[in-house]
Amino acid sequence: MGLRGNQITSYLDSILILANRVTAGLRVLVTWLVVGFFGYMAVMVLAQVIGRYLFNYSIDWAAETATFAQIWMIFLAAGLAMRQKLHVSVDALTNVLPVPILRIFTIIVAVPCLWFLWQAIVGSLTLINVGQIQTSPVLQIPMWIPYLALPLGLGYFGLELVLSLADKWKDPKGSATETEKLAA
Amino acid sequence: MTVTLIAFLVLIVLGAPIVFALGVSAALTISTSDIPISIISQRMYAGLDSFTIMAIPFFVLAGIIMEQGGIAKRIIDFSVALVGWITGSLLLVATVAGIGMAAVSGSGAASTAAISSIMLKEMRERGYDIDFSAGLMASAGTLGPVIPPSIMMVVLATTSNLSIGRAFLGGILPGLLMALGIMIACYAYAKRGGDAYRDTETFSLGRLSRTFLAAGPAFAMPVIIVGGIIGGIFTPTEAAAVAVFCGLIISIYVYKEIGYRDIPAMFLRAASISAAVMMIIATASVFSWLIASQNVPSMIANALHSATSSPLVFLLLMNFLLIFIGMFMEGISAILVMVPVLLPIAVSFGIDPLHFGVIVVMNLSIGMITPPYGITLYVASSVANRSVLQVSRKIGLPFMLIFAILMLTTFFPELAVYLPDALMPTTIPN
Repeated sequence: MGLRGNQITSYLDSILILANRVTAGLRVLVTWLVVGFFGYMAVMVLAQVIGRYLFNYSIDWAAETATFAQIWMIFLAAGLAMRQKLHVSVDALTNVLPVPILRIFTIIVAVPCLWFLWQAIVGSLTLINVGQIQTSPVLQIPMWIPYLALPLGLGYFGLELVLSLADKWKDPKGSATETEKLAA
Repeated sequence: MTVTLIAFLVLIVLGAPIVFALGVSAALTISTSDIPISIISQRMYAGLDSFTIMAIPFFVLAGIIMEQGGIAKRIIDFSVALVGWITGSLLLVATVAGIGMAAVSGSGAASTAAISSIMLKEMRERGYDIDFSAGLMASAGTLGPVIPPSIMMVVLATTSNLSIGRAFLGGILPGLLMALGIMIACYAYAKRGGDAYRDTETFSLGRLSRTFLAAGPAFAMPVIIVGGIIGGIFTPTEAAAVAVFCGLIISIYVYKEIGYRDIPAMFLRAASISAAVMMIIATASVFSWLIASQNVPSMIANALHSATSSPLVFLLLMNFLLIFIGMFMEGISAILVMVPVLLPIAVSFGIDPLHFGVIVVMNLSIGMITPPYGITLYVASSVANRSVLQVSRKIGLPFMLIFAILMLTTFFPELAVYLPDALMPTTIPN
């Protein structure tokens, strides 16, 4: 690669810094949404238990809204997990490859991944259309509300994927990845 | 279908995240067929639209709370009082603590991390062989997914329509036997190991009861979780949420090791780890829908039936296949990819699905200590500051004993199904 490789890396650096700055605000928003949805799930499920045993009253909408919160939480947190390198892969082979080949692999792999996300996002628009007339069984919530988690969450996932590609280009062996998988 | 499988394997080998390997190969197949492409998002949504799998993020969160809330330390103190007086004390302590951690948390890597970061210092001071000790604590981590509660068991049960409560119960006897096997490995090693391993604490009943009381709230957790599910008091999801709240109360008010301001970070970490697992569930549900709709399991089953009619031969084949897969793939992903294909085949051989499920989980737990990709092996090595290669040279003895228990469970289904049949004699999934 020599000089040209270094140049590409330094161009990448400046683009990355900019992109990361733009994404940083979004990341904070997503983080708090994720914590909020998760907190809501925990409170609702506990309320269901307490309601049933202490007040002999069943909160039938608790499970429904908690499940919708779960869908939002997971699709949004998928991008955060990308950022924290928590999406597991099999790196037994790629770890022994030299850096230039690894870089090529990274690009080869990224193209179909982004294509898949695109397909899932396009498909979810059909779902949202159906969700205009569909409502949930208990609270009659319009179904486009939970469906909307797909295009937004997967879009953010794609953004983090692209950013992580640039990181991977710079450091294909990704020295920090394994320790972060620790508790998974 | 061949397109799907080839695309999947190529992507895996090229190092694509498993979530994408599953999604891309499914999407490729769908886009070359006359199935509408919107089936992808539809199946992904359906895969997560479940109150039952909400047990996963709650168990992950409960595990993180236990890990940071000082519970591991109390469990280790109690284990020292219990077995610290026997030859090879610290090794045995690590194993007993492994049982304790397995019973409060759902993941193996977390318990290996907690135990080895606390215990390695003293092992080093007393002159224990560090590679063997690290390998042993990695092995103790394999108890995590087998002894309930277990995230792997929740994933297994929800993907194969088994009862989570029965799956939890099914892991108890094999898990305790695995622990016994690991303890035999400790003792055998320590006996030959020289003076370092004879340096032990004296046994004291007072200390035992004192440390038991300190660890008591932690030990109440598995009783609440597993007992609540078996007794029909909670659904598994509710039990997991209750575990989260008990864990918070114990850590904040009893052990006082964390405060309210630590809560958002723990929720965020649990949400991210869960998202990594559950996005695989989402894309795997597209993948497994395709596999089921093209009758792949029955095709493989027919091929296998013409080769052998013995369920035992089939199970032995499965053991080798799964140990091989576990060498390269993380356990939960492996379950999501393999179980939808393999379980119907197992059933066609007349094998109890619960027996098969427990064997799958045991195999993939063993995968946590087999190089090149063994998560607890990796964690223990990095805490001990040794290379995975150095530690894996010493893993043979515990590996063989755990493998022996796997074989025992393969030959005697009662080990897996006796407790569930005795305590939860229902086959209604919940």
